[in-house]
Amino acid sequence: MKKWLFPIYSLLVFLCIATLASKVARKHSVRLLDYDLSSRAAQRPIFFQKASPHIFSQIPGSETAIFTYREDISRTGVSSGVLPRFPIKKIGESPQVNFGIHTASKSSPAVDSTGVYIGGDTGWFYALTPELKVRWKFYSGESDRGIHGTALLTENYVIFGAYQGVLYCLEKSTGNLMWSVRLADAIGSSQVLIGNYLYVSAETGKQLRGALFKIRLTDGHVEWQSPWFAEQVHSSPVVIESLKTAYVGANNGHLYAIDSENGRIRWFANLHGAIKGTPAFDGNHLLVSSWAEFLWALDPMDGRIVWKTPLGGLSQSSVTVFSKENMAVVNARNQGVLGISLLDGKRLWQIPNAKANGQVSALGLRDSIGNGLFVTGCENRILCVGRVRDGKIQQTLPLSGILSSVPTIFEGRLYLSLNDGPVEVYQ
Amino acid sequence: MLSEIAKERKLQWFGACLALTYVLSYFHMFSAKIVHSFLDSRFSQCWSHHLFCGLLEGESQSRITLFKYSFLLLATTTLFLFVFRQARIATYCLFATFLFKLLIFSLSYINMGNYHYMPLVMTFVFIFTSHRRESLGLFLMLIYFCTGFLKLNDQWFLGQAVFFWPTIPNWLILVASSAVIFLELVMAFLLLSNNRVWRAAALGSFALFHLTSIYWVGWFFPSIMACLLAFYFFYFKENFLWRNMRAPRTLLCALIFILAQLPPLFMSQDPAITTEGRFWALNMFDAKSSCSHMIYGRFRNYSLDLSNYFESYSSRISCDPLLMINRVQRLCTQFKSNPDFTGIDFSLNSKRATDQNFKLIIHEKDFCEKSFTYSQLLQNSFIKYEEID
Repeated sequence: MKKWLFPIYSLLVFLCIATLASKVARKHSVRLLDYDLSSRAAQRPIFFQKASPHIFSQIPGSETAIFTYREDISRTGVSSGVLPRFPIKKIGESPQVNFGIHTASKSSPAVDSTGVYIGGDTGWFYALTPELKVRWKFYSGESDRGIHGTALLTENYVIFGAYQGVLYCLEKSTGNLMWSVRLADAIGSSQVLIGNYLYVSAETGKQLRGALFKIRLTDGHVEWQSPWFAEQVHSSPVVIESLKTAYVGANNGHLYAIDSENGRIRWFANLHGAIKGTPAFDGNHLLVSSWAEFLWALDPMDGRIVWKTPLGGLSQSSVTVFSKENMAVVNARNQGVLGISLLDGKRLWQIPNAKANGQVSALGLRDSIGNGLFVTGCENRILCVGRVRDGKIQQTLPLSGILSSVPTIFEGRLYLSLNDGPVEVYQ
Repeated sequence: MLSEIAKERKLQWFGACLALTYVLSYFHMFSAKIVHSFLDSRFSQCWSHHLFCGLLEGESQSRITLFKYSFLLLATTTLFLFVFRQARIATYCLFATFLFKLLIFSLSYINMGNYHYMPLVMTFVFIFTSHRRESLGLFLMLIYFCTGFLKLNDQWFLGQAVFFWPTIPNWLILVASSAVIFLELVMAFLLLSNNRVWRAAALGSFALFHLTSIYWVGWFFPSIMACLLAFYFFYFKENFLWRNMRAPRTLLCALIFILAQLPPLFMSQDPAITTEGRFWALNMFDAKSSCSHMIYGRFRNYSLDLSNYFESYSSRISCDPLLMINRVQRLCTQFKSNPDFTGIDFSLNSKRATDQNFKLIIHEKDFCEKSFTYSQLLQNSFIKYEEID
């Protein structure tokens, strides 16, 4: 081989490699003095970029939400349902749905005229007839906690997330899978539908991160993912359409405001304790409880704290907002159920329960003459129906198991799912 | 043909090194997790040719033990025969070991990897070519060159093909990745240089490279390469005669080897994702891929997400369409006898780690109703490689 050939070849290869390396660095916007690449590789970026849906059928046309966790997109937790008379009593139950696999909050029943839809802690999702017989069921696969979040119902479809990180859209009538998309390691939150888009939070397991996702209902396409938050997200998002902003709390105590158009963080407020419950919007303020043992009212425009009320114990319940009465109802550990004024945050009444774990959220509804009522677990295995204006208990019901989910009301019937048991219906 | 081996002690030492690669393979292939895939029908993964797949399924423990130890015994015997200068018998035993290894290789797709491919190629060259000093030197150089060529992609430059990095600045990752490519595309030629200094520099560089790679890839691959690189150590003081590299058998083998590397370039839009054409070629972990799949099993009153039914395999093959198809076909067989079973829908999306968007690779409703044979020689019509809107 000619002796001069090899040095020329070496030089050519060196130049090619250098050119390619610089092109790659520019193409991927690599900042050479940073540590991004090593940290990315070190973190095994499974979900570093957009997740992709598996589309078996697209949803034709548009759909509107019939049932949303916490009753409406403002997540007030107050239903338009009416509990016409007392006392209520149990009139039926389904086959066992939850098996007490974990002590975190269970999925709440999603109910409409076609029946009851609920996820269980073993990973099975059930569609029950109005008489609570199993119509079809779907197994989401193995995970730590099965199905944690509450399903969203539209006219024809049911959407829910499972604890292995997959969001599913199934046909209500048949249980056939329309699409699925794996967002992260776990979905424990409950999605909300605004227009043709779902907003849902998901989290990673190994690095303890969370993010908010905007998903197209038609086919599960991920419109955007927010930047990863510094901790997991157990809270469900609330969206204020007029402000084009979605809000979600994370385990690092931050409440994030995310631009609903592009997924960027607008602001975040430090509430000094993990936020597990779903923020609620009362028309003026965002209301959220945290492990810092406060109930917070924030300005949704900029996260400014308007008032905060000590609860005397940590809370991981969602706030139930009664706009008509200007009251909020929240559960706090070792304190029980608390009624808080929305005007100034003053505590107005309390149903004490020294054994309360601060986990259960209340359902709001009205009685036949329009009085605000709340329904919640007020003691271990006791369901309380109380009056919002003064906290007076109207009825207590012993339960056959522990309640950690939120009751649902539909056509005068109350549906509960117990931690270790079936779905029960009361009337 | 074997007289050259019988006469040359250095070739016998290299033969012993080749036998050692098979001994090391025994310890790697018969680790507990990999053995699962041979023995348990739930975990076995067939190559597309299906030869010998399932051969050991259902066999008794004693037969499997006999099978395993036979391979180890044959490889070890070959090693000692070469050490004790029984060249002819050793070469026959090496050939038998080569065939035995091919059999084991064919048992499961999870054996796919260069650490098996390279020793098999070198053994073939050792046994069947003439002027072995030049042909073995040439082939090892060719292997390095081809693997260097495969590394010319974004993932390798960005360090994404590597599992993890210590916390070092990005520029250093780019330099390190580029240096490896330069090593394989340029320094590999110096392994054949008759200038001792250059040859020592090249040999030292490769030795250092493989030594440091233990941090990322474990002991097995570097130890295989150490056995193969020992060739240059044995022949360090000898000159390579370039005219001997033009021997007909050597040229023919080299041509076949180079041709075998070409199908992935022509058969698929992205062989790193679709793996089409890679059966005969070097299969570098050149481009880390990410994938998401959905296996949706339909029954009369219920349905199942079976995506996580199977255990995951190494990053090297975890997104391979062939592996996925095997899994779904096994499920079809498993559920066939269930009267409630109505079908499986299957979808696979993949991308290179640094790509922004996933590509739709496979999307089939009623998968069990259709017949899928993964061809390694022709393009597969069911592999789509489409944008997902």
